[in-house]
Amino acid sequence: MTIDPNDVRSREFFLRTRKEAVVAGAIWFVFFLWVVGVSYVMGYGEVDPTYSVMGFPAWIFWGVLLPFVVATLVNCLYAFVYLKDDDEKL
Amino acid sequence: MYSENATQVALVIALYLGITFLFAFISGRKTAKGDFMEEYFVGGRQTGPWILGLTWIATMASGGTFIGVPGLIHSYGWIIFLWIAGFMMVITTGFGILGKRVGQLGAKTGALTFPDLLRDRFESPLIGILSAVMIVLLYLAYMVAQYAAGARVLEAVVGIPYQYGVIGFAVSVGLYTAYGGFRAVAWTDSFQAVVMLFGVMLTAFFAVRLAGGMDAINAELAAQSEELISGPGPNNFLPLVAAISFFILMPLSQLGQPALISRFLTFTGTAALKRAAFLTGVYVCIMYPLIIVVGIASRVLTPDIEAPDHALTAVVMLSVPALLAGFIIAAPVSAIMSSLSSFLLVSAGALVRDVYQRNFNPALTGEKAKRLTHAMTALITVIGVALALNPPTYLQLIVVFAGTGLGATFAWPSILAIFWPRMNKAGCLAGIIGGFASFVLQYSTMGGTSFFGFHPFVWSFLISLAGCIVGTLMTPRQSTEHLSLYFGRPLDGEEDEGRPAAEPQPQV
Repeated sequence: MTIDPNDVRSREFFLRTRKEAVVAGAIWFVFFLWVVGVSYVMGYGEVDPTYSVMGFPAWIFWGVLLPFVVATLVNCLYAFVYLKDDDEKL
Repeated sequence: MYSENATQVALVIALYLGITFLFAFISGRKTAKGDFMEEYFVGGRQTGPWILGLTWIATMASGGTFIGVPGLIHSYGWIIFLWIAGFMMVITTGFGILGKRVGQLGAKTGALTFPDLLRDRFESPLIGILSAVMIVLLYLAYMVAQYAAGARVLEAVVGIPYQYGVIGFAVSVGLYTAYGGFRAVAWTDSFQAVVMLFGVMLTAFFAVRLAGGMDAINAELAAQSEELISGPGPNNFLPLVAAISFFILMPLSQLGQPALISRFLTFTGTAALKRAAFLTGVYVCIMYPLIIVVGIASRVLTPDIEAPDHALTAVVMLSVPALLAGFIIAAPVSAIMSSLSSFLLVSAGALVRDVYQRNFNPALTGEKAKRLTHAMTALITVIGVALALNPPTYLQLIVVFAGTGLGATFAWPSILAIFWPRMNKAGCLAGIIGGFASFVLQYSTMGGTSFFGFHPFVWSFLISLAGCIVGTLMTPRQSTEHLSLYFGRPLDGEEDEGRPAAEPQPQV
């Protein structure tokens, strides 16, 4: 392995990927609050069996399924809009 | 046995296997050219977005996903969807936190395996060997679960005795993995991912149709027991602390999976990674909800089954037209084989490269390397089969043990290795050992529920983090020369973290 003493680009790359990682973590946290919060409040204990949305129990729909879809959209945005192209040529 | 058309199904499965071997053979021939190790372990770093995304999901979704999860839904109802909900975050966290960085560092340092990354980053052969050993142990557990799942599917659908099923799976996967290395694994994975997705889509369609629609299913479930349609589920399956634990555990444990991390060593560039992240994200969003639906339908359609892990095959044989059933059974078979091949590749690699080649025989190459790799693949297969001949009950729980064990051991060392310059060898060792030991200790004394109701993974995850930090801060920083390879040099006006070590560290 050869070391380039003036590896400024390496530094930039490192800092940028680190920020992207933190953003990914923040996204996780937001969905954590949504999913666990809504599911718990709407779905734990007595649940009205007739209350359903699109065939899913209401608490499942609002607390798991919908966040799943939204998370996928957020993932697309994250991948295509937020992540930068960083390719270090050897 | 649930199938009246066992012969038909068996023929379709044989056809499916034939196609799999064909993929392996064609892609494996490319492996024969070029440097053996580079081709065998990272496919020459030429993996494009589709293959990358599909091999990732195929490896992650294993027998546990297809056999274990429906089995759990059959027993516990809708709460299982909340149990696995963390998977909605797995792509963003996995690709976003590790993907780009691991790929770049891998290309820069020439890393072929996950232990390579850690060993070179921390200048520590000990870490290379230690992580290799843990990989082999934990993946063996994972593989045993896969063999068991696959054998049960064949037993339920075609009537093949369990023992022969185990051996059949082990031998088929062992052969094509040994033959073609990463390329064969990636290509067969991609084929298998397509089969998985279509299989689950078709099954969901037919099962729900047969049961009379989702509302009818839910009404029937509620009639059987209100606990099936609410939290925490029968037998208090998922109390709030558990729900919290698993939303943490499901995605974050994937960050510690060597087989998934090593996939990030194989792609061509960030553009491929981004596309793969998109594809895999969409795939996950379609597949997991549909698996849940299949499981729910199975509770209504086939309420009495011999073992929970028969739920999927039972509902397929009941609701899907005979001709299609064979294709659909190929779906869980695919999930199992794709995961098995990846685990086998990584484990054999751990023995051949991370233990042997890098420490005892750096000149190992060509024919000798190939033969040794084949031998290790065979050895691991044999051990796995021997262990699998005593079948476990809830497949998904073994998968969770092995999977979370790996996560608890490797997630923090991996994340901090690539993002924290101060992190050093002592910290990595403390993180790995602390995570692994605390995990095994909790599991053996308390099972799947630890202090305050949290899953052992949560505590081990924290202990591993603490180990990384404390171990690092108590020992000197690595040399600036070495670190600059990974982190560059501080930009003008930016403060550097810590001070450089006074002298290079002794090799351990």
